[in-house]
Amino acid sequence: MENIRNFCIIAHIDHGKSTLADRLLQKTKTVSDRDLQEQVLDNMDLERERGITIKSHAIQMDHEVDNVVYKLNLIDTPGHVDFSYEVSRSIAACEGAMLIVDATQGIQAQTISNLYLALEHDLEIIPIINKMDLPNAMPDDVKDQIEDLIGCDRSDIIEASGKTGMGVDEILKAIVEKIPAPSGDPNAPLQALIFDSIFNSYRGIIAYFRVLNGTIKKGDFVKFIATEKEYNADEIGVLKLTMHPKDKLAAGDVGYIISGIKTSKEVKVGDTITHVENPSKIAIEGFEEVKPMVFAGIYPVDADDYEDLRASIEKLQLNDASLTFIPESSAALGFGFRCGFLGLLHMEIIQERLDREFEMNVITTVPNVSYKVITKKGEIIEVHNHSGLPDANYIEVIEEPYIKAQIISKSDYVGAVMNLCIDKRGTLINQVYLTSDRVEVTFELPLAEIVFDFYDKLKSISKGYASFDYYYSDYKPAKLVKLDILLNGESVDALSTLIHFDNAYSFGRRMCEKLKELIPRQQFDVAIQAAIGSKIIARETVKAVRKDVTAKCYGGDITRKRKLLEKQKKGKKRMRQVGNVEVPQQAFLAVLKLD
Amino acid sequence: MSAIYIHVPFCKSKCSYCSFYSVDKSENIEPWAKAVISEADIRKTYLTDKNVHSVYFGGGTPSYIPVVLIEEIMSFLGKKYSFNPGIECTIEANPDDISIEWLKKVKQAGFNRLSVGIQSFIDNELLLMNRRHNANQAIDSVKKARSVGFENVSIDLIYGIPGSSIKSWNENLNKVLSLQVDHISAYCLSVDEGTSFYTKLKDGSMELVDDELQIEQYRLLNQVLTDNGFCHYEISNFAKPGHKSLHNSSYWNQTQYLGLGPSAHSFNGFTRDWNCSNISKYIEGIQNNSNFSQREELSISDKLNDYILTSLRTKNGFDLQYSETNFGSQYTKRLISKFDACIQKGWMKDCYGFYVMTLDGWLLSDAILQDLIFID
Repeated sequence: MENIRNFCIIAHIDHGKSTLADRLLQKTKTVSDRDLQEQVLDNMDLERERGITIKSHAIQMDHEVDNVVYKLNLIDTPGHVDFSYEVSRSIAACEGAMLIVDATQGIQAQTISNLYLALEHDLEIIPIINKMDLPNAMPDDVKDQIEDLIGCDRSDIIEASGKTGMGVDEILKAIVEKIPAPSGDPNAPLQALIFDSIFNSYRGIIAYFRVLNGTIKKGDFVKFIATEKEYNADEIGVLKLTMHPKDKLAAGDVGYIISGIKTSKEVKVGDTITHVENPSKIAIEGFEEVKPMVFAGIYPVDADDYEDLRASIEKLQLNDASLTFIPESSAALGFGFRCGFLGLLHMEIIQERLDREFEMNVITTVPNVSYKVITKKGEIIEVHNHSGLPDANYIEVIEEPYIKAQIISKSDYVGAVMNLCIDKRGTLINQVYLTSDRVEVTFELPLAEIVFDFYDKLKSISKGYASFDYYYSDYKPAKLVKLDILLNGESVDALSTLIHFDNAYSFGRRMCEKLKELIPRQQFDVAIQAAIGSKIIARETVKAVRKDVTAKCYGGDITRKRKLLEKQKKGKKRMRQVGNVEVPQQAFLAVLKLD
Repeated sequence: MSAIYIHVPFCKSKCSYCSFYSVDKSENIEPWAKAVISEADIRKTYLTDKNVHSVYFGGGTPSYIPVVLIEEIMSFLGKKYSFNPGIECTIEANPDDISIEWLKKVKQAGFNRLSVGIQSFIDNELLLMNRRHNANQAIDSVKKARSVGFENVSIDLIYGIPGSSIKSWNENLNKVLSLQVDHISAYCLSVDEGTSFYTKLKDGSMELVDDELQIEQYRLLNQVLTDNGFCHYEISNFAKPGHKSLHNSSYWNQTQYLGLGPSAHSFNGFTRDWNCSNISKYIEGIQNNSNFSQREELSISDKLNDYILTSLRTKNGFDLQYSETNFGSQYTKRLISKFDACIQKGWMKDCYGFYVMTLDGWLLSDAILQDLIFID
């Protein structure tokens, strides 16, 4: 056990985490130079392209120092705010963390919140400045920031470059020398922390765990404490570039278990594995059910693809238990699914994966958050969809989820950032100058407000400099109304939203204006109205086409005319019929990005 | 029966609304005429129906080029192709090019029909459209044609011109009536990309008249002309009895046509072909007998779609019998149910097995045709 080192990486997106990790794999010969695919750890295309790690992975490296072979377990962490719970579990499985900061950019919001998590768990931090090869590196400033933040010795900060391999030896040295070996009793009742799982189409669910106490052997009869399910440990082993089966894993080890589990829902991150015989009486602290906070309808563009869409979402869910879905139908969009996501990025990722991996063409409706409705009878109902809202007469109060948001920005932009947050109904909680020109502000904000166009706006007002992280804080009463959009008097369910009363008028007006641009003229006037209950708050009209004729058929050019008509007809075919009004697909999407 | 079209791509100046292919390089005129003759020779097997009942010189501005070249082309066509005895030979002309001398020459060359690009009898409108003539020249040109003995005179008109009104359009129509022409093509102004009107529209220096006025002008056109003995035989065409354009009609009634010259279109029942719209490339292509045109082979649904969109432009309408015979009953049945819906809305009439669009139908014809055609 004294030769094991378990550690994770804390870094912001694009700060070079994966490239540096690849260098470690290369140096320890875990992966041969020839096999080194750029960024081995991120093995989904989407991850590589976006430069983010969506799901964490683990990998074991052997590293020899003075004839002693050390087992280094690198536990990769997802790099996005939506997955903060998973990050916390990965951190809980480690004794140390590499803090990687981009030498050209400095510390970002997300790094800080994950760093705090790591410090809470008493992890040994190895501070590293990456991308030192870049001409615009500013090591002195960044070292100041790191010193301020973790109070380390300036000389302990390792200068590195994933690109050139600079600093890699020092990093390995620091991992071995500074990170404590795991503690734990291999003879105690088994306690193993599940920090991740993946789906393999041949083997079923593979759960990754860290043994805190006790020993697990191949063939053991084990129990997952939170789900109370029991399995045979058909195979256990450690992860290198491929899986290496082992007969036993003991306290301090990181490994995987295959036990014939078919669905990802049975394996919950944070759960504890123990033995059925002689079980551990207590579960490892910190388990939480991950609950989706953002909901949206996902509909196939072509109604015939409904079953294919279901199969695709089911496949995604095998790998991603945090995605939930139930069938839903909409008068405008037909049959689809109400899906629950951890956050907005998670939603975007699912949409993109449906598109890329399954070639599904989908329409996503306006997302909303999960509301709590307390009825006059005192019942608490969770509402994920405006149609699930009980009649106003039964509602005592509606509560909406709030988040604590940490935003780090150059001080030049802090005024604009604050204005944005205040516009979004935020309350300033704290403001700290990290350095003379970097400010960290903490806001409490309704989640519903960041679901729309918060990220994009934040990026644009800060010229891309602001970074943002959040975690859920609380539910608070909200003055919500259901805003309906009517086309020729008919309410379009796919365009209805639950919205804060203060925003309803301007939102309704902008929706009507946007729809007027997007809905083509038809053979009758189309009235576009926004309504709260029976009260119309905005209206636009798309005037009827009274004349649609090509006077001239140019010099016998019938081909052109035919092709034009065919093209128009195809375009029309892709439209949705709402009552007698034809609505183009993009109308349903464009409302997500007003302005 | 078949038709031959010759595109004369030369203009002294470009009209503000025109998106047809034309150039003003007069040094190209003779090579062009040579190339047209070569093309007529190269493609003499294109038309499977050898009986030519119409020859049409359009443009561009056919009256802008030396008549001798036109004579040469005409005589070559007369030798290589078999002209029907009652053949209609049309030449388009600008009013300012029309002189007694010119008229005599073209009559001599075999033309028996004149199509005059008048567009409007209002000087301000002519100026706006960058036409080279004025209202008096327009009136004179028709009178001269009559005096030389042209018994079949057609004029082109444009309505929906910025600044026009019902009153100004009514004045135009009264001038037309007093001139006693035999045929009228009246087009609503459409602003195509690449024209100077398009630029003006985009930069906001010009505004189109609204749809309502265009509709009123169209209805007035229909009413005035039909009240005065014209038959409204196609969306934009009117004729006195016996004066329907054989040539224009060939585009709408599946007659074969051979188009010679750059950007000219051809149809022989199986394929549609179009020559490249570049004078130099065209001439070079003809010289090498390669790469001067593009072709599409017509599938059964292409043919049906073409039949739908051409036949319904005309007063004859869509012939159920023809459709049954040529496209089968499955397609035809699907169409009938759609036609019935159009009849309900007042857009069509069923005239003994022929479905014909009403004036209201014609006004919305693009939308209706879009619904009728078949796509996979």
